[in-house]
Amino acid sequence: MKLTDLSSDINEWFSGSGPLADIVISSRIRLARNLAGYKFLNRCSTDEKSEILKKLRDVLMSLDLGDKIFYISVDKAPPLNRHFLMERHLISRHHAFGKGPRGVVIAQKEFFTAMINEEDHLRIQVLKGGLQLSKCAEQINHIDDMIEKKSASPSALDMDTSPHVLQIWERRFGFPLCCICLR
Amino acid sequence: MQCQICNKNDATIHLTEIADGVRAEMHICEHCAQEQGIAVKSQIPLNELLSSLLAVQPSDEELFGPDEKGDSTSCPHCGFTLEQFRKEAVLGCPYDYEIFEKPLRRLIQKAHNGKTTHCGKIPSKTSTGTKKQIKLITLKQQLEAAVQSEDYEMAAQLRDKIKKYETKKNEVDRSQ
Repeated sequence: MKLTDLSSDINEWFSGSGPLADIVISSRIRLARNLAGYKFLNRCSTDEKSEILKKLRDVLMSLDLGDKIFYISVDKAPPLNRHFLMERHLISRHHAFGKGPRGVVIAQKEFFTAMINEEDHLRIQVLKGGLQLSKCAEQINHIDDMIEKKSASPSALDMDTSPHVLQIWERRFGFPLCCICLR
Repeated sequence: MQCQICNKNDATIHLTEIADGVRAEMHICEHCAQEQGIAVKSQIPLNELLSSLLAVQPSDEELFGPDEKGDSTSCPHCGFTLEQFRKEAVLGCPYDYEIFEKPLRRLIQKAHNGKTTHCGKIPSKTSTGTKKQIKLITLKQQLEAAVQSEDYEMAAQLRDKIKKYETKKNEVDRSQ
C-alpha cells in the first residue's frame, strides 16, 4: 500500500455519505493510551521510544479490522508525505513534525488510524462520514478492547492495574495521560 | 472581501481586537498575516494551549492552591517537578498523578468540570469490585447532573438505580 493509492481516492468519511451528511461532514472520536512500565514520551529516551513503537506496531498490525491496514514510519517519511497525512486528518501536526521514532497505522479506507508516539504512546481515532458519533464510539471501544486483549505485559505500576493489561489504568484517574486535560 | 493590506488577495484571516473598550477589526490574507508576524495555527496541541493558559497565571499559589507555594518535590521515577509542569504543561510519568495529587487536584477539577474521579471506561480485566465502585460513582455523577438540569424524572430513575445497586452490593459484600 502506497500513499499514492490513498491520494487517488476520496476517503470514506469525506464522501458525503452518512446520516445528516448535508449538515455534518464527519464525526471523529479519539482515544489516548499509555503503556505500563514506561514514562510519558516527554521523559522517554530515543531507545525507549523505539521500544514502545515496536511493541505497539506489532499489536496494531495484528488487529483484524475488516480492512487492509498498513504502517508508515512518520519520522522517516518525506515532508510532503507527512503534510499529505496531516491534510487527510490521519495524523496531527504534532505527530507530523515532532521528534523521535514515531509511526502511524492506517486502515485503507481511512476510517481508523493509530498514531504511535504522538503526545502519548498511542492515540487511536475512528472517523465516519456524517453524524455518527455513537457508531464511532462503539467501533473505537471495540478496537480499544482488541488492543487490550492483544497486549500482554506485566505492569510496572503498583496501582489497581491488571497484570495482563498493557495499558495503564488506575481507579481514580482512569487512563493516565501526559496532559491532565485528556483522560 | 479583499485583504486590507495588499488589496489583492482574498482576506481569509479576520481579527477582532478590543482594547480599552474600543473594537478594531482587521481582514487580511495569509501572506500579509505572516509578514505582520501574525501566526496562524490550524491545530494547537492541548498541552500548548494549557501551557499558554498556565503562563498567564500569576503564581503557584493561585495555580495549585495556597499550601503548594514553592513546592520543590520531584518524582523519584522521572524527576519531574511542579516547576516543569508550569513550563511544559505535561506530566512526566503516571506516578506524577499520585505524587502531585494534591497540587494538581485544583487543575484536574477545573479541566474536568469539578470532577476528580474517573467515571469512564474500565479495562475488561479489572476486578469486579472496582468495576462496581466505578459504576456507582458514574450513576451518582449522572444523578447530580440530572438534578442540576432539573430533569427530575431522570433523577428519580437514577436514584432508584443507585438504591438497587447499593442494596445488591451490600448483599454481595455480606455474603463474602
